[in-house]
Amino acid sequence: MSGVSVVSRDWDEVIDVESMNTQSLGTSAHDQQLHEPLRGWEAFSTTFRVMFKEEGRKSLEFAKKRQMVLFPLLLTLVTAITTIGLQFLVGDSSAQVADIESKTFTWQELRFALHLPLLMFSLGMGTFAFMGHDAIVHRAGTKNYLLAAPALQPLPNSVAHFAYFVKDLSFYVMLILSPVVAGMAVGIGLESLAGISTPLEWSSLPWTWLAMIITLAQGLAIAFFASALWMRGRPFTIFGPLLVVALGVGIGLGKFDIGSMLWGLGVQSSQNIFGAVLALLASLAVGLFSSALIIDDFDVSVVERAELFTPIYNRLGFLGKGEVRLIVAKEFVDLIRSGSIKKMTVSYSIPLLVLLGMAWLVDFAEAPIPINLLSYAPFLGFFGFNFYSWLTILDTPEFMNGLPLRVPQLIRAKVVVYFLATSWISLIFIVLMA
Amino acid sequence: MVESLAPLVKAEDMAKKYGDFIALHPLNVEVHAGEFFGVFGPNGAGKSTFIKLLTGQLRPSKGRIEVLGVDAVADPQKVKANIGIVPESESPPSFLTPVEFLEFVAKLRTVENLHEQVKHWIEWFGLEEKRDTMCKDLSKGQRQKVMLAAAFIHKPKLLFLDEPFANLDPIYQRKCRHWLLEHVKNGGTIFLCSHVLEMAERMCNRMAIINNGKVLAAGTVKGLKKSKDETLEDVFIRLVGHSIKDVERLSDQGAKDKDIEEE
Repeated sequence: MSGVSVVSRDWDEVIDVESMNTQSLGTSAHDQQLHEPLRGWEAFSTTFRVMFKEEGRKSLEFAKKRQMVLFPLLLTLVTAITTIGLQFLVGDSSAQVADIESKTFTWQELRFALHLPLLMFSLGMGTFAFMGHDAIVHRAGTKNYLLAAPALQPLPNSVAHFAYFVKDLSFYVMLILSPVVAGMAVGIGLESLAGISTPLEWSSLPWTWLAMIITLAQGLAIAFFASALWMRGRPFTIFGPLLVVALGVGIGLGKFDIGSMLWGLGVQSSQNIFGAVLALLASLAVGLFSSALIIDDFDVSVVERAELFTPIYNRLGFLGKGEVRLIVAKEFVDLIRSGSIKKMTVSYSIPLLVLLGMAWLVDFAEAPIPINLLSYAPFLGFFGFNFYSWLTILDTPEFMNGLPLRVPQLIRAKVVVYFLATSWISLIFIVLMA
Repeated sequence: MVESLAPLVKAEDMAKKYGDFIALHPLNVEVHAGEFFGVFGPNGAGKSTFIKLLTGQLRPSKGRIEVLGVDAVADPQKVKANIGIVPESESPPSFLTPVEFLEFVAKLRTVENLHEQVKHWIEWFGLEEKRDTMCKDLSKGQRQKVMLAAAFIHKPKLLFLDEPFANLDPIYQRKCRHWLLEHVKNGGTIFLCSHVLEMAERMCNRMAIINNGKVLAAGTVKGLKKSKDETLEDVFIRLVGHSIKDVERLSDQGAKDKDIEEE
């Protein structure tokens, strides 16, 4: 038999029964020998290598070649200077005198100050499930990334996501952590060359490097896990934020010791190699588990919506009649339709809520807060950074090339949107604090 | 044409719904080896959904799909490993060069003589000068050539092509057309989606016309025509719901509007 048969039926003619029938439909590959798709390690290593290259190129485009080289050098220089200045920061330095002793930090406090911002940074950078979804949705746009490759190639989405997680971890280790440790080495090296004193010892460098990698891996894995759960929808989208707030309050009440939650800090303090390997493997395991939560879903939903642009534009009368008002209205439609407004509100509100809880605990419950409130600055900073990133990557701006608009107008519109979208949250926060 | 009892592709009541919008009504389809089968329809008719469901890119809302003896819903990766897909509007990864992307695809598909194959397809599509240029810096047509090369590199017998010649210049359109026709002559099977009716006339031995997610008619290109004088365009307009007079009336109105503007 040859040929083609194709017949349509009405939607209601076919009863929607979850078919348990596993019997073959009778197709055949004939003389073609079927290939098994690459799976496991082979699929991972093939994808990882190309993704690493892709990341390098992306960074080069974002920062240009000179900045790409200068950034690690700058990190090395800053860390070297900090290392030299350590004698004035730590309490047990021979350089300090009695009257400033109370103003210095212990080694443990300094380590904490190293690991907490690093964890916050990695939490902000590890939402790989969101990134993967965005890559798949936008794969027909002007930019396409390897993270979207499973839509077309015989590659499981979970493998692509795990490769992305390991790639990001490796890239940050190479671009940020290694230059930091190199800076420490330069600082120590100056002791013998220039006679500058530092309390840091050579033997602590490998541990610092390893401990920072563990903290970074832990943060990326937790954020990956949270985003993977979020993508699975309810009930995770409800209980996830509640859990984060509860955790913050728990830390504030002293129910959980945040120090013990920072695996890297624990490793650096104990210098236990078994603990280090275990912590690293645990982070990778969380990453692997998170990637297993990613399903092979390449649907780009087709949804009809009521018009939003004109109603929003009409409400923005205070912006005048110029182009900025038009762009702001368009940006708000983007924000609402893409669902980003929900994600951004949650990510902006959670640190503020935690901070509010902390303030309440200090003022009313008189609870001993283990964390300096200033530690929340990077926390807020990174979430704010994410917020702004989301705001600016919503839609490709290329279509504006053909419109009579100027770049400053676009930037002004983005700033206005940022202000309008966040100021009410901050206002509520200040009122509550008051 | 290769004669065989079992079809290569079969779907039973395959359908897709997005919320309340029915993108594809339940559809039964069988494609046998050696066919050059084309699905044609106006923009938004459901052609791409049709092809994405058969190739495991989308999960059906209803029904079952089997390709080359593999359940496309349960094991879409195995289906993708054994077919070639050219998507309608997808580009190769922006930050890889054509050579790097083809090497990646060839490795995933365990292609033998990987470097030779990559070199062959780069030359075949005339991309030698662009082999080390990142795909984001290629023209649309060049990106389409890379996507075509990625679909051909593992020599699949079964190809799914969605608007494959979009943005290609006439020289490469002709080159690809000849290659595809040779492929079918040698026992290959092609499933093509397009709105360019000329492709049906030139390439397909069977075709279907689809609109609003439903197949309106299917058969040989000759068989769909009511008379000798009827063109495929006439058939298309007749089937998708507009009479020829309607179209002429719309054209005349357009011409009148133009005259008024000029006056």
